[in-house]
Amino acid sequence: MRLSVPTYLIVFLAFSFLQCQPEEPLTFDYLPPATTSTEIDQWLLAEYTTPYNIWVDYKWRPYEVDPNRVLVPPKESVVMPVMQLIKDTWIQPYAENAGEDFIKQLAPKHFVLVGSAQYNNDGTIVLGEAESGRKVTLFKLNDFSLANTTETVEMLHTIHHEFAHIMHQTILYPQAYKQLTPQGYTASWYNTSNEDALDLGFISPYARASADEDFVEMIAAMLTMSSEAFDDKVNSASPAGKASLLEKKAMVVNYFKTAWNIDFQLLRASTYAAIERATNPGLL
Amino acid sequence: MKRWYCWMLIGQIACNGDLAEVSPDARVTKLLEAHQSKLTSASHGWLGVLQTQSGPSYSFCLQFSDDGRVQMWSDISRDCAESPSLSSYSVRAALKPSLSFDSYSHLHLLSDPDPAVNQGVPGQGYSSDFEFSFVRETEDSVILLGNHHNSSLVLVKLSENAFNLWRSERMGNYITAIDAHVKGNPYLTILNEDNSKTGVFLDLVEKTLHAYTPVGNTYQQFSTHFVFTPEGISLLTAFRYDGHDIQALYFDALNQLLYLRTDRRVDVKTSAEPIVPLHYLLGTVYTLIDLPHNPLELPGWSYEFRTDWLYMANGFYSCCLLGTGNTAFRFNENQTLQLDILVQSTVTGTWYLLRYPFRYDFLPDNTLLLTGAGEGNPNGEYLRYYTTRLLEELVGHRFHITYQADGRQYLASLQSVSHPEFTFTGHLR
Repeated sequence: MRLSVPTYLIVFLAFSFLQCQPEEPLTFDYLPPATTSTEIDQWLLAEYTTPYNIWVDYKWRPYEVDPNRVLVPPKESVVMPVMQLIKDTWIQPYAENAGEDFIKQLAPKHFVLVGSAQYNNDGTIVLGEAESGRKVTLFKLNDFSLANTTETVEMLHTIHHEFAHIMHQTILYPQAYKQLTPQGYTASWYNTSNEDALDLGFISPYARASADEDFVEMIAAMLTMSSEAFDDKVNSASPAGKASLLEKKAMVVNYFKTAWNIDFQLLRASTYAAIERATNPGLL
Repeated sequence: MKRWYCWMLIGQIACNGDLAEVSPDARVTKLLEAHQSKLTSASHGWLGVLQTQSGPSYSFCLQFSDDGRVQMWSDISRDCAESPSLSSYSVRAALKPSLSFDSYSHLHLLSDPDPAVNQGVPGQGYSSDFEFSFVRETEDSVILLGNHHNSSLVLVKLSENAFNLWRSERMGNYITAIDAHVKGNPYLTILNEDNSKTGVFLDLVEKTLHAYTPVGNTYQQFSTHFVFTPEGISLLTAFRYDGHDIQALYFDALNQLLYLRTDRRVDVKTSAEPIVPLHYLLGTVYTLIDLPHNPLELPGWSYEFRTDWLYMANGFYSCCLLGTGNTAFRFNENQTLQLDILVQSTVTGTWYLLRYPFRYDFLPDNTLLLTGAGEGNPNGEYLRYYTTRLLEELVGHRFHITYQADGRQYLASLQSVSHPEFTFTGHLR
């Protein structure tokens, strides 16, 4: 197409006008408007964001969760108790036994708190998930009560489980671990009873989901159970299952030492003592 | 020439200071601020009516403050009516400008996927929302639409008096009192101008009102959802009575009765006996005829019916099943019916459901005809040998369906037209 000279002139003038406006800074203020900081916001800032650079989302952010699931935000009344418990039973024991820098470097930078469980189509529910070592989402917090020791320990199990994922995603555990019970991994792990899982050499049915899940389930169980309770559980397995579990336990302890220079027995003692204190407030 | 004008127009637009100086960000921010100020402008709060996608409708009283906090009462339960929740909200730009209730409140009970929280569907709740797009605003109202489930939330400004009623414990008391009133008096009536009576039924679970008004030889049905308010019951669709649109039923706490207002007060009377023939009510007011496990428990079971029943029960027992638990005829509004029989294993204690589908029709002579029994569920087919005798008496036969008194309650009574000795009764649910 050929443009005439006057046409060029008009185009030039038009673009000149478009460019004649003064430059203005870009603003993004239409994202969530500022609201008054609540007591919860200030507490999270002081206990998590400032010392550990961890951001905690407890208010609903739809893009932080699976849009295809029905979920609800947590009750405000559970946010501080849950995060205090997590600090006492996860951050502090690691800080004591591996150093503040360890937890600052490895801790996920973003916690998303969800009130309900995440329901899967197969009838199972998700209690927690980790995303690329950056974000941990905790579900089912509206049921949280320190008086309910079983559910509280279950939640802490989830935290330690997800953090262990970050650890092995940073330094991989020995390949030999995957060869201990290779036949036992299955996508339909949820059809397995606790007893059958133990007999097959897995600490829980979910440990059958994959070698990674198996490894972090072992760590979470070893940290959140007393050593007596853990040993009793292992001893209740079939001889073959028990042998596999003991091998896995030894590999976990060795991994902590060689990969992270952490004495697992000391970490375990600190963690379990903190859990005992939290769930039995009468204890000193 | 046309091309010249186009270029000149572009030049004009480019130099229009009003448009060029207002960035999209600034315009969106301005819009959000306008929405937020609208919400906080109601000094006595808002009446909100939320229509869920798979459950009833609910009323709320919401008061938004400038610091992003919202206080709310609701008719979800007596507790929600009496104890307000205080939570966070934000007005933000999602795909559309949206109001998000972003920490847990009474409103979230309807979305909660945990069935233990509010009896919702596991993993789904009531398919309700807590993030809404702004659809329309007037001086005194805001209409919002759920971002995920399309549930609607309509906000209307409350008067000071109405707001104070919400803050009192009156609605909680009314919810309990109306519940007791309706359960104790299932047959409610309104006297019409021609001295005929309209039957009124309140389903407090589905929060639905059904009214049956006599017109000639038949009854005209009207149904609507309702919500509780501190004055009684607010109907979502107006009920036409005596030339007036009735939008609410009020509760008289002193006399423990409901009434409506035209240009006068009209009491909703209680009746000791039903006035609307049963065949009008099956599938709407009553969706279940429930037969108990023990055949001697109810009057009106004929020898013939009892014989077929025992044949079935003994057959189950021979298969290590403890015979029948409850048997239920489930009437749906789309003319389909399911016969559900529960049986329990004597070995494991496990319950099994046998289900047989039918179509039902009411013929011009008001008899019930069951037809087209399709294939049962796998349990039903597995044990069909023992149920065939009973099913053969039901399928393809017409039944007179009437009330039968049993003390102070009324049962459904079914009598075969072709085989009048075959009669049975069941509880109406």
